[in-house]
Amino acid sequence: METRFDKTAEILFELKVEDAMKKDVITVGPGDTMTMLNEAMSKHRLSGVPVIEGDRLAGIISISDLIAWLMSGGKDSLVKDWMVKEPQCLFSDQPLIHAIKRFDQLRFGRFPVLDRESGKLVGIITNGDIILGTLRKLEHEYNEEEVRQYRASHFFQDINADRIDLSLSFTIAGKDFENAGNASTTMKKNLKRLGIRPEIIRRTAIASYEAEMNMVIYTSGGTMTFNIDSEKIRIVAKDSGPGIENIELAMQEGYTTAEPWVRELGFGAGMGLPNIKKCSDFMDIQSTPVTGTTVTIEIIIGADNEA
Amino acid sequence: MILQEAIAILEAEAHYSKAHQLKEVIRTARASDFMSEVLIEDSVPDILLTGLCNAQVIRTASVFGIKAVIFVRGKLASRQMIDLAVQENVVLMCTDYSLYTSCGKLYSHGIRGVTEKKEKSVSK
Repeated sequence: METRFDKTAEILFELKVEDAMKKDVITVGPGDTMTMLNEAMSKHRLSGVPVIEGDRLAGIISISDLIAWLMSGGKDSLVKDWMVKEPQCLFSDQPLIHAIKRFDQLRFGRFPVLDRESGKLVGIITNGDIILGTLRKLEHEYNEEEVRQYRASHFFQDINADRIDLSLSFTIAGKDFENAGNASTTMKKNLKRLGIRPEIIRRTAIASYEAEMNMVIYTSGGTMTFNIDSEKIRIVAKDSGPGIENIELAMQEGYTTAEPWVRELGFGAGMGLPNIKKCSDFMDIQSTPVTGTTVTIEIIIGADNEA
Repeated sequence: MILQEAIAILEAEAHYSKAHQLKEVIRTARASDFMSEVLIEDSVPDILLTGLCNAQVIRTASVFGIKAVIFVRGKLASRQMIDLAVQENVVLMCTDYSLYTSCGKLYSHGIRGVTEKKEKSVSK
């Protein structure tokens, strides 16, 4: 059973520093006077202020530095003489749990938050921000829980008809490597919702993913259609060319026509089509240079008790 | 060991993980920069170590049922990749160690390759 505490711990891993940090940060310059800092801190009720020089973080100055200055007589002096230089920072994309560990290790009251790539200051985070951020997320999750209760896991049992054939289609863009595989991972989730056995989902997802990658890598795009009935899942991947020159050769493990860029991305080892065959119960390829290639894949769902 | 221990051994930074995932028991690993080679294996490793850093690594893990992906040699995951890992529920982490060192560290702590038995029978 998942307890409420587990849920909170989970949120701390899920949330990023940027989800909890304060984004509108009041800053001072190293050349500002301590008197100005004093006014800014009491006006905005701040306990620590990042010091910015140009667009870089030069240091941080906190209420304890301010007190030290006051104790020394509060004479005219500049922020740069009292600030802590090269302060410890967090990156905005780090998990919140990492921030908590750092607070625990270093016992600081706050951390400036930097963007990992540009190194620019994007926010500031205190322990209080972490608590607030976590509470907000908990509330949000709580509201979403009811929506999530819905699962279509008894779809085929709940829907009555002599024959059910669920058809789902995806348009696949050629050469769009960034989004390649999206149809297959989406289908994987859909099949899970339909209550299909994990082993069947896995085989379907692998076969579908290989077919989808082929379409993205070698063709200018096409469609993938998934037909699901109570007995089998049928995938039809249809592209508009250029077609496979020698299907027999293409079915051999290790045979590939992939260009170097494909191999650099981790594909094109000549494993795709053989792997589809391995994962499926039926596979057929029709290909001509004019009409393109149509790959048909079938995976038998089988009864629940047959595993 | 559990995933959390592997993170500690590799001094890795987890970009995405849920509490229950960190307690998942892991026994096997695979190291490869070739996703199509990973996908054709019969057995599924618990974790995948790779120097390849793109969205397809996460999709491969999702499709194949791999619990966690470890980017080696200090490769940084992009924001899109982290979002994808969240969406696909694949634990994503980065270590500064090289592929060789990462594998060695995990092996010395009992993590084995998925194809080990097969490899053994092939060699004399």
